[in-house]
Amino acid sequence: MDQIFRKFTLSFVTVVVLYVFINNILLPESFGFGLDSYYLTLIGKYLCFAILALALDAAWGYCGILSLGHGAFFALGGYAMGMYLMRQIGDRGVYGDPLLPDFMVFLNWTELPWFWTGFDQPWFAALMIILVPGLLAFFFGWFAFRSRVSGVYFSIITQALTYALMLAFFRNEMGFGGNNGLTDFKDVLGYPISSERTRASFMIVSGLTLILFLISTSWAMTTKFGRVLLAIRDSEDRTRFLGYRVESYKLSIFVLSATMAGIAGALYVPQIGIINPGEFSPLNSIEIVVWVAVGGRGSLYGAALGAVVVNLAKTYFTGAYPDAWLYFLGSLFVLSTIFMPRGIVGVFQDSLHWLVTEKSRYRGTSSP
Amino acid sequence: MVIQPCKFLFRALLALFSSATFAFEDGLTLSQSSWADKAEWIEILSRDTTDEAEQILKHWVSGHLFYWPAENRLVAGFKQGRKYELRELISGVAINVVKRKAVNKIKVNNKLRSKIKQALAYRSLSSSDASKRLTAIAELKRKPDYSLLHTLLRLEEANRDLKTSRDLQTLVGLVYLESSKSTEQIEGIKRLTDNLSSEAKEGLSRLLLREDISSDVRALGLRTIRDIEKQLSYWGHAQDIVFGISLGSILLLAAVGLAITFGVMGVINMAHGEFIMLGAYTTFVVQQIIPGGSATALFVSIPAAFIVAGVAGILLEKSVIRHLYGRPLETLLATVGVSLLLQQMVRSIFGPLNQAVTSPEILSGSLVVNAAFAITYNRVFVIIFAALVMVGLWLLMYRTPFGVRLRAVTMNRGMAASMGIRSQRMDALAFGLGSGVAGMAGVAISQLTNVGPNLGQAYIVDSFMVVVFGGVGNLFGTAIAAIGLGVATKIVEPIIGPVLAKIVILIFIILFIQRRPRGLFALRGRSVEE
Amino acid sequence: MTLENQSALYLESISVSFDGFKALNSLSIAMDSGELRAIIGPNGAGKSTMMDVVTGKTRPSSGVALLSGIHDLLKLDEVKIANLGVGRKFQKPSVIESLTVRENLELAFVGNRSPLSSLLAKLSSENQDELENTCTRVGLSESIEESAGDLSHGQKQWLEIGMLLLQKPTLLLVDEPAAGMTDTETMKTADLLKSLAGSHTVVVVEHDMDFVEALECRVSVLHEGTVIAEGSHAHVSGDSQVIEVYLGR
Repeated sequence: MDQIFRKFTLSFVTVVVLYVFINNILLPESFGFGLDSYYLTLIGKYLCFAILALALDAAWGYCGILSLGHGAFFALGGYAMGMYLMRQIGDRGVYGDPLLPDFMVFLNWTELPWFWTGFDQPWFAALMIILVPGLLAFFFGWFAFRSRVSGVYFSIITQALTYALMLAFFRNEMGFGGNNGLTDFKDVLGYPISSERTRASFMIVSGLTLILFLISTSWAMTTKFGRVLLAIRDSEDRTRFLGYRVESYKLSIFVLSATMAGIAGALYVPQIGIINPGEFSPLNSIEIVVWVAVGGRGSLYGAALGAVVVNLAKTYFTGAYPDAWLYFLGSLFVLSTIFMPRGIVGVFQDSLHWLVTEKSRYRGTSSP
Repeated sequence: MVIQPCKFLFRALLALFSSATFAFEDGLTLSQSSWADKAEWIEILSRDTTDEAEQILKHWVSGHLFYWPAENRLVAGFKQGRKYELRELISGVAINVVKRKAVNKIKVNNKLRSKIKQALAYRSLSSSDASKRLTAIAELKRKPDYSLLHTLLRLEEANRDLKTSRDLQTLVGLVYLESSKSTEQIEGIKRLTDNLSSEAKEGLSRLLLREDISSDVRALGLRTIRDIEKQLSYWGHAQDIVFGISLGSILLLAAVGLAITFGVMGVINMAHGEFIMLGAYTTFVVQQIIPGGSATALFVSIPAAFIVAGVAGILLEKSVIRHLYGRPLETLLATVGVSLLLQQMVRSIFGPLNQAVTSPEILSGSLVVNAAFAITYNRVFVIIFAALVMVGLWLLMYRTPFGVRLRAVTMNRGMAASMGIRSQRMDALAFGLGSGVAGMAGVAISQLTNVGPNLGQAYIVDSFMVVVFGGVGNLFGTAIAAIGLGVATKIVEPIIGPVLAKIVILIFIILFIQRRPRGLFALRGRSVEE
Repeated sequence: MTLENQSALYLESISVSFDGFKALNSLSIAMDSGELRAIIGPNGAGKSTMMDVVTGKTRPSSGVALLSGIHDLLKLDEVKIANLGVGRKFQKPSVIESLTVRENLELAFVGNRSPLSSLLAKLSSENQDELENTCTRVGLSESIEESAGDLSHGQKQWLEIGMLLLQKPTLLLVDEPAAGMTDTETMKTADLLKSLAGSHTVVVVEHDMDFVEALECRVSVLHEGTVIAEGSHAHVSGDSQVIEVYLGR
């Protein structure tokens, strides 16, 4: 069952990526089959969310680590990218300062803060995108897992973490653009950021990243590593008695998950052109959980699917009936946890199981 | 030679023994009088209680008093380019614009100016209107004028009003500080001992900056000002602590309901903040229904909010939570959904903007102990209210059969069930109780902040932090945690600012939980994990 | 060599109290290397708590606990103790329900426990064979690809025994192995445990006196957190205090 889903998702994404690659990049515009900017950005956005959902599912579905603050890692990766893009603006900003971004000039700052150094180099920015969320996850997780904080306590303190970060990043004095965030980007790696080609490229990169992460994460889950994670999820104590350093496993998957989330954020920001502290909001992190819950946790593909489905709904609702969006989202939370504990994937699997009467072995996800 | 003094004497006598008022017609005389005579006129005017007299003096001292021969009266004149705009003395209504030559300025010199100032001071300070007196004193405190010393001393002696006497004492002290005589300076310092007002501090600082004071005076002055600073600091800290208790009371009210639902059922209700919000909105609605007498509305709101939120809680428990029993993470998620739904519902009904909830009259104003320590009455109300709620809950939990059953279920569900306690019913009631208390928290909060659909969001993370910090299922722990966090926040705030304070407190709790996952006072035998 | 040093497991004056209730009251007990020992006692005597102390799950308030004369068990956590070769079979079968029988056995197989090696390493074909043999030995070869959650209670017990074997511990702590088993299975278990003795130190906690008799080993009787009698099965069954504790009152 998993196989079918996996193949379907992979093929679908590959097809979309190839289509865009051929029509937007290879062929000249005159052929007219390329997707226009709006759709490129939309699909790119969804792909980034799918990566984010995948990241969360790797930790939650497989190891039972429910992070209600994953948006923080996403945002940190996004800010790292944003800082690179800000520095690329150079003197083309409103104030024309070759070194200082507009908001710093506006605050009457004369020097670039030390933590902005290096961000003009793409390799440095890339390094930060991976390191910053990863290191935060490492330290946070090290303290948390070592003291055996788990379950709901852990989830609550991840909320506190993202809330604290949100408060911090809203402050102008922090040097990250305050409540306006970082925006007005001009180009990336030398290419204009809003040109169709750039958008198409980012969409393609997002798609390829999703494919890469899907394949590699599912592979990892087929190894003993993945089985230890499942063991931890289902019987943490027993796994300890088998001699496994549970904290190390939890920490590794948590850090990997955070890093993937950070990369998703970094791919997201150039496509939508802005990163602001609202990205740290607790509600954002909770939405990610809904994507995974609706899609089906413990099945990485399901998480990606959930992200796309829920965001499609969001795009639709916020466009047509903005008031109804929160009603929809709220009801989705409530109904999916009660009636679809294993998400859409679970529903499919159950129906298939029901259709195929013989006992088929499938990975059942127990309640965390 | 003799004539002038005689004229003077005559006039003085006349002024003394008659209630002669200044007449406008005397404008000509005034404009032509000598300096000595002018001084006399000031005396007369100062005793004249009419508004005209006051205006004349005011305009005179500022150099805007003129005699207008054309109409034989006194007017106020303001330079306008090369000409002068003439205005009525009292009303200030513009009359005409004339050339400089058309009017005679009533001149003033320093001596007269001083005299007039004193006269004006005297007038306002001996006004029958108490508020006018206080305002006058406050103004004079800002700029102590040594020349007023004798007037003030005279007033002080004559003063019978307790309210103004302390102020006058301070004012005289400040004026003494401006003196060049050591004895007077010392007297001034003495008067200002233990005076925590900013004017006293400023006055003393100004004195100490001067280079012409004796070493004795300097020593005394330094001692006094240091003592004042110490006292200010002490009272400042006391105020921080009381503010902390006030904040802690709010946190306590918000969190204790959660402690009950979390403690009894191990249920994480992420919609808890919205129950607080419902309580606040209930207060608003009750106020619409019972207008005017806000105090009654407030007292009605308390049970009303308890019922509204409590019923909502029971409904939530029966419809959603029950189905997810034993799955805390799912419950967390489902209740997040409910929180979104409740917020949106309130938004649809009441609109997305904040609503104004007014405080009753009796709660407005503040308790002022001194310049460094004051607390508004509505905060006092919240502290008392929180204490009452805690006492009520304690009585409920430890002195009623219901409470005993509730605690039994908290500590050992299975055992309690086998003793005949219907745990399902307990669950619903416990949830109702916890949510009802949240509703009452909303009433208290509505007195202090704006009421909007997002009210709950501001308190949910904090409430969880308090519960988790204090220890699950423990009322006492929640109380200590809430007050402790409130005081800690308010002590840290003045040092690093409110936002950083919040961040630091959050980080502290995160680290604390990792060292002691069960909180400060964990109830043994129960944990969410089990 | 002192008793401390030569014992595979040495406990002295171990005391554990939970909120005033003394689960272990100055318990002292020592096992020789390769010995098979049965621990019996009424409910609440402290048998499981004693296991908890040895495996690192519970910290005593006082006492000494040494493994092989050199490892201070009170300073190590469950994971380190497990990796030192202490294997425990729990009273309640605790296998990983969402994994298959094979995967459970693989998980238990002794070897590098680090995340990286779990990610990259695979069981050698020799080890695979050993795994399958053990699986057969515990009677689960037919269900090897089934989900452990689908097994019967008895089968789960056997799986756990299999896992314990593959852990290749030097000290085995077996908590009520006969529970829920048929008579034949019980005997089979007793034989298995006897065969393990010699190359392993085996400590068995049990209620079933017939089973204990079948083990033909030294017996320690626990009561209210302390050892009240120790010796052969015949000896302790005849001990008056033991009789009183089990039958009297």
